[in-house]
This record gives sequence, structure tokens and C-alpha cells, in this order.
Amino acid sequence: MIEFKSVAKRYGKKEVLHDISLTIPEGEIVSIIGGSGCGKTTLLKMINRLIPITSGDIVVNGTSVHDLQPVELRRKIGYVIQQTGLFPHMTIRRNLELVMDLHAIPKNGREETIRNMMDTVGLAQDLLDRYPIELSGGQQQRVGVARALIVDPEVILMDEPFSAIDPITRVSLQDELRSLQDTVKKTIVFVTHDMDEAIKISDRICLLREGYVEQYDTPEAILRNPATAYVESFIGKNRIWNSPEFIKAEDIMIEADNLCTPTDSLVRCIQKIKAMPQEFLIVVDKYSRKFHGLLNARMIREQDDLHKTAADIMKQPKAVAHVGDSLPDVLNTIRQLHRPYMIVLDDKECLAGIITQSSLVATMGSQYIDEEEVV
Amino acid sequence: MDIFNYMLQNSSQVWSLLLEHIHLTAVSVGLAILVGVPLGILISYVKPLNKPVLGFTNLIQAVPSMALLGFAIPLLGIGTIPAVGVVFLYSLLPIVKNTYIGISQINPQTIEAAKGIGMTRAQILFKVQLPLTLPVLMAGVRISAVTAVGLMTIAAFIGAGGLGFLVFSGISSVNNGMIMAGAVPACILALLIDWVLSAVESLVTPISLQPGVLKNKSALITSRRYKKVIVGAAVACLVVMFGSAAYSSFFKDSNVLRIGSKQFSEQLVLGNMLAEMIEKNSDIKVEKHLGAGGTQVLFNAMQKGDLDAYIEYTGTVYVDVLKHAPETDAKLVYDTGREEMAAKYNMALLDAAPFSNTYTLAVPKSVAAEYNLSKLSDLRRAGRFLNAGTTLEFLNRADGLKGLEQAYDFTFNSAKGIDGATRYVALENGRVQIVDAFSTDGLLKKYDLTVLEDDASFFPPYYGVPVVRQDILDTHPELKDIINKMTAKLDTKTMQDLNYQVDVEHRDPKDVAHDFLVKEGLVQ
Repeated sequence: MIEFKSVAKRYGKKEVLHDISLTIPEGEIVSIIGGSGCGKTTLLKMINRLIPITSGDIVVNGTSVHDLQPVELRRKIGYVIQQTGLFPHMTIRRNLELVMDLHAIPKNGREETIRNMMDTVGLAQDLLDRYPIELSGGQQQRVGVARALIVDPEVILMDEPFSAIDPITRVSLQDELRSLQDTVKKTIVFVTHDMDEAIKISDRICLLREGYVEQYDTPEAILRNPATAYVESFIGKNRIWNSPEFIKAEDIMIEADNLCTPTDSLVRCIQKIKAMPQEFLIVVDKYSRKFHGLLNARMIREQDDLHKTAADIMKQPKAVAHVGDSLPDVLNTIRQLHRPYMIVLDDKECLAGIITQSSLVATMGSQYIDEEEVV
Repeated sequence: MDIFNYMLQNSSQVWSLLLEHIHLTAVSVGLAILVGVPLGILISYVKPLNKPVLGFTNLIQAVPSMALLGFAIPLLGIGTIPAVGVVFLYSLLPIVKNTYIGISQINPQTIEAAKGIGMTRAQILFKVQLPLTLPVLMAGVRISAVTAVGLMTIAAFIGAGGLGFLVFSGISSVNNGMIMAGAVPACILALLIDWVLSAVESLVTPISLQPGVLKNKSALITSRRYKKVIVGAAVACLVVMFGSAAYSSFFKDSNVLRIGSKQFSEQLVLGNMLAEMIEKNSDIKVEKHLGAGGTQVLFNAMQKGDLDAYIEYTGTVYVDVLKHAPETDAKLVYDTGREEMAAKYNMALLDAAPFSNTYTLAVPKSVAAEYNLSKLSDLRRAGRFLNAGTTLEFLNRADGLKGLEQAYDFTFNSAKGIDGATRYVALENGRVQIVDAFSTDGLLKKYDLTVLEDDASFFPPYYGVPVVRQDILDTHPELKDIINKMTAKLDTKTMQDLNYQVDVEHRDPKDVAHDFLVKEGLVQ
């Protein structure tokens, strides 16, 4: 766990970070993001005191960073930067061993640790005797991560590690980092300027602007509820479409007005259907809107006794959606049902709305048409 | 070819001068590395220092080397110390600058990564910065070393020895073979050092940073193996050289007599003569340190006990060693010298030789006849018709040309400063009609010049005189007679002739000395 307590940074009279207080929970990846000059790298480097703290305190796993010598502090914290951070005059093995030297790890057993680490980061063993220049950018970056992990620190700092990597490799490195994190469970602080990257890998995102924390929350919360106009413009209006799992059924449903109560007679129901564009009615309680079932015109026509009530003949749909279901799930269900619509319930099983083909088209089409306000 | 003849006849001299040259260069450059590298590191850490330090080293580089040698003389005297000092200063700039540049050009991210993983300053310096700086640093050392070889040649001017000794001696005695015998090995040495250091440079460059490593790693590895052999051999040579020098200086044989001399032909002949005379006429073993340096160097060596005897000049003892004002009374000069050397330094002056190697003026026979010149006083009438070409020293010294013109009351039509043996060339061309000379100079004979007699005794006496440490004379009293027998035979004409054989006929000083001793019946 890393706690920032009223941390500020001044260069001369210019204050670049203002009274920052935030807590990075243990075992989470937290991205610090913001435009250039927002202080994100400064904030990161203050954790291992590569940049001195002007005022306030940073507490790493219960110990203030000021209570340790900088060298001692840095040895406890993994540090990964772009691939240029590898020592070009040393083989990959030497690069890894150097860190173990610093930690005075005994010589025997090292080879095994090194080999395991190469496996962990997905590198072939025969790369150990190569020099960094002989490796691809992605391989070098994996070595960088291996170098940070090899002495098993609890906290790892990553300063835009993937920014110089080609987009395809970058995506796979992000995936690997995320799945690696699921096994190693380190507290990772990750500086990036790439919102997609932050959303993809982070448990939480801290968005900085000119030395202030603009919003600090989970990726989903930031996407759904940007705290300020700046956050909104930073993430981009339609950013959420890049993460469809964050789009929920409630975001795409429309209000349903083809309703009837369980006690409505079929005669009344027929009248209602005739007045509606839809071919069916949703049976709900009048005030609580508790959902009971569906009935359509064909089901009424098949009945001889029009004095029956809606409750008598209604059927349960094969599937319903709940407000929290994500867009991919909803689409999947609709596809399997071969139905043009879907009922959306809230957590009390009451009707929240309805998703129809036309509402889907309208919602999904809106990302291409700026004027429409959708999400 | 003159050079091959000279080198064959004087192979041991050329060889020892070459070794001396390497020795001096290595010491200078070694010192420059020891000082320059830490200085370069310092200024890359303490940025405000880098302008003044680089400015200073630049300034030194901008001073002409001759002038820097000139500056060094009052501070460090002459001989090897100022030479090493000057070459050291010259070598400093490329090393300091390259160290500084090498460290500054390292990718700051590499340094940050080093800090970030928790390396200490010293670890960063020794494990990251220096290894990455070495290639650039070695390039600087290479420039320094090659420059130093050339510069050390010039340092012979102030008595440092080395190959420059041959060059300067060759120039002063118009001996092209001798000039080349100094210059050619110096060039080859420079090229060789450049070659060896280029191998070192590529060896210290991490293989990963060498051009072409991605295409041809195995070829690089093979060529590194060869380079290691080259460098290993070079290092082994140096170790053997220094080792043997240290060994021989450490295990100095205390039962031998060490004889020194200055660097010019006359001194080499006299040194050889003294050595052979003693060796053949006594059972004392002799070790020769000929051409060891100027007065200061020899006298210091005598004081320290590194030398036991050499042949000095009375005027030099009187003025340069004992610091008296110049004096023309030969007897006073000799007597004072003998008394004070014995009293102050416990060194004995034996009998002075009849030759005097003093300043004089000389004219070609034709000019002598035309103006009827035989004595310096004749210049009172003829001086205004003559153009003089003299050494810069003679032109500028108060007791040189100025004093002479006053004492004899004349002025030359013109007087130009022409250094070295080129005076004689000017004389042959007819550009000048009269030159200054040392009275025993063999070139006087070569160019068949008439020496004008110093009839008013203007010039101080410079009679050759053996200087021997008193403690040596005490253990070997027989030395006195042996040496005096030899010096008695050396008059000015004889000395001129002996010098002629060396300077003009290019004979080995050792043979000249031997032949003379045999002819005079002094040795068998």
C-alpha cells in the first residue's frame, strides 16, 4: 500500500504538484495519467525519491520513504522504464544478476531464479547471453519487467514502459502484464499518457491535471461518470465504445409504454395492443412495476374466453436482461433468442426498460453522430 | 642511405634512446590518465567546474610547445622532469575532455535506471558510467599518446633525452643520417602506439556497442581475440622494459664507476675517452651514462651519487653551478671552482685540459684574407663591412654580441639570429660573413673557417675539467693521475679534430675516443 499524504512539489517558486493525498491499495495496478507536464512522472519518481519531496510524506507499506536511505528505499521498490533502461554493455543475464548483486542474493540458486523469471515474462532461455541491442523492443521490455520482478519487491513503479513499443506488441505486453499481475499481485504504479492502456490494465486510474488530482477512481467509474469537464474531454466523449463491457443494459434501454397489469382483461389488452406500435404487452404491477410476464396479440387471439385476465395467459420470456448487464452480454442474448426485443429489469425484478432493435441501432449509431447525446 | 649507416653504427645508442623515449612517453601519458580521468569525472559531476577546467587545458594546448618548454625551465629546471611535466600537460586535454564527453553522452535513462534500481553513486560510476565511457576515453588516450610521442621529441631540446636527442644533435651537427635515425623511429613508434591503442579502444568497447554487432558477432569475437594478443604483447613489452629499468636501478653495482656526459659530440667523445682510459688503466669497472642531460641533470646526479665523474667546463662550474658572475680570468675561475666544489659539494676538480670550448667568432678563409682578420681586435676596422649570423643566445646575451661590440669598440653592418648549424649554410651562401662558434666545434674544420683570437680576453674561459666525487678519489687515489694524463693531451686543435670526426665524418664517438687514446699511447 502506498499513501500520499499532502504531497507537494515545488521547483523554486513554481509548484508543480499541489497537496496530493491518495492511497494506492495493496495488490492493485494504479495508473497515473494526464497530459504532458501534469506532474505524473514527478509523482511516480517521488515514491522512490528519484525526485525529492518538497512537503508532505509518502508512506510505502507503513514506512515513510524519508525513514530509509534513498539507495535502500529504491532496492525495495522495482523500477521499470522504457527499454533504454537496460544496461547496453551487459548481457541479459548480467542485467538481471546486477540487481541480485545489489540485494546480495547468494550465487547458488540464482541460475534457477533467472530461468524461472525468463519463463514468467515469456522469454526464451537462449536470450540470456545476448545483449539488449540484439533483442526486439518487446523482448527488451520484458527483460525490464523481469529485472524489476527478480528480487520480488512488493511495490513496482513503471514509468511509461510501453510507450516506445509498436502498437501490436504493446497490446500483448499489456495483456501479459494484466495476467502476470493476477499471479504476482504486486502493488504497481503505472505512469502512462495512453487512456486505452490505463483502462485496460488498471484497477484504478488517477487522472492528474496541472498538479491536481482531477479524478481518482476505477476505469469504469471514470468512463461512466467523468468528475469534471476536463476528465470528460480527456477521456473523449465516445471513449466508452472502446470498452463495450462498460456499457450497460440501462444505458441502451428505452422506456417501455406497452404495459398492462396482471388483472387487465384480454379485451382491454387487445385495445392496448391496437393502440401501440408493438405487437406485445409487458405485464407489470401498476405501481411497483414488478415484472410478471409477456403476452402478445397472437396469444390473445388464440383464447376463446376474453374475460380471462392477462395474468391467466401471459408467458415468461426465455431470458431477461438486468440493468447491470453489459452490452456484449445483451447482444449475445438477443442473438440467441431470435427476438427483436429484450426486457430489462432492475435488481428488485421490476421493469426498468426495454431494449429493441431500433433502440440498439440508435444507441450504437450515436458514436458516429456527434450531436446525439447517448450515454 | 645515411640513416641505415647511422643506425647500424649506433644501434645501441638508437635503441637505448628509443627505450628512453617510450619510457618518458609512457610516464607522461600515464600521469595524464591518472590525473585526467578523475578530473573528467569530477567536472561531469560538478558542472560549474567544467568551463574553467576545460578552458585551462585548452589554454595549455594553445601555447606553442616550445614556449611551454620555455615556461617549464624556470619552474622545473631542465632534463626529464620538465619534459615529462610539459608532455603531461599537453596530454591532459584530450583525456579530460573525452572523459567528460563520454560521461555526458550516456543516455540519461540508463543512469536513471541505475539509480532507480538502487545502485550507489560509486556503483553507477564503476559499473555503468565508466564502462560506457571507456571507448571515448580511450580515443582520448590514443590522441594523447600519439601527440606525446611527437612532443617528447621536442623535449630533447631541454635535455630530456629520447629520440629527439638524435634529431637535435643531427641538426646541430648537420648530420642527416642522425636526424633521420631519430625522426623515423619516432614516427614508427607513434604509428605503432596508435595501432596498439586502437586495439585497446576496440577491446574496451563493449561488444554490444560495436558497429556491425548484429550482423557479424562471431567475426567480432575472433578479431577481439587477435587484438587481445596484440595488446597483451604490448603490455608485456612495457612491463619488461620498466621491470628491467627498475631492476638495474635497484641493484646498482656499488663497485663500478659511473661516468656521465652531456649530449653533444664533444662530451660523448670525452665521456667515452674517460671511460676507456680508466677501464684500461685500472681494475675499476666503468658504467657509462653518456648524453644523460645538461649541467643541471649531471650535477644533480653527482650530488645524489648516481654519477661519479664527468667532464665539465671551468666557466660552467663557476657561473652555472656556483652562481658567480661571469669572469674572464682563467686562473681565478679554475681556482675558485676547485676550492668551492670541494668545500660545498665534496667534489674534486682535477687538472683542467688545455682546450677551451668557449665562444669565438669565425670567418671563412676568403673573408679573413680580404679584410686581413686574425684577432677580434681587427674587427674595429673591418666589423662595419661584415654581416653577422649568430645563435639567438649569443645575439641576446649581455656577455654575447653586445658586450663584445662594446669591449672591442665596433659594430657589425648587420646581425641576424640564426640558430644551429644553419649559420654555416648562410656563411657558405655568402648571406653572412662572420658567425659565432664554439672554439672546439668540428664544423669549424669542416667549413675551413678562421677562428679569431680573443686578444682582449673578453670571453670567459671554458676549459674542460674532470669533476670527480671526492669519496671515489679517496677509495681510488690512482684515478687522479690516470685522468690527468689524458686531459693534458687535449688542446683546442685536437678537440676540434675529434669533434670533426664525429660531426662531419659521422664516426662513432667511442671509436674516435679509442683511436685517440691509442695514438697518444695512453692505452694499449
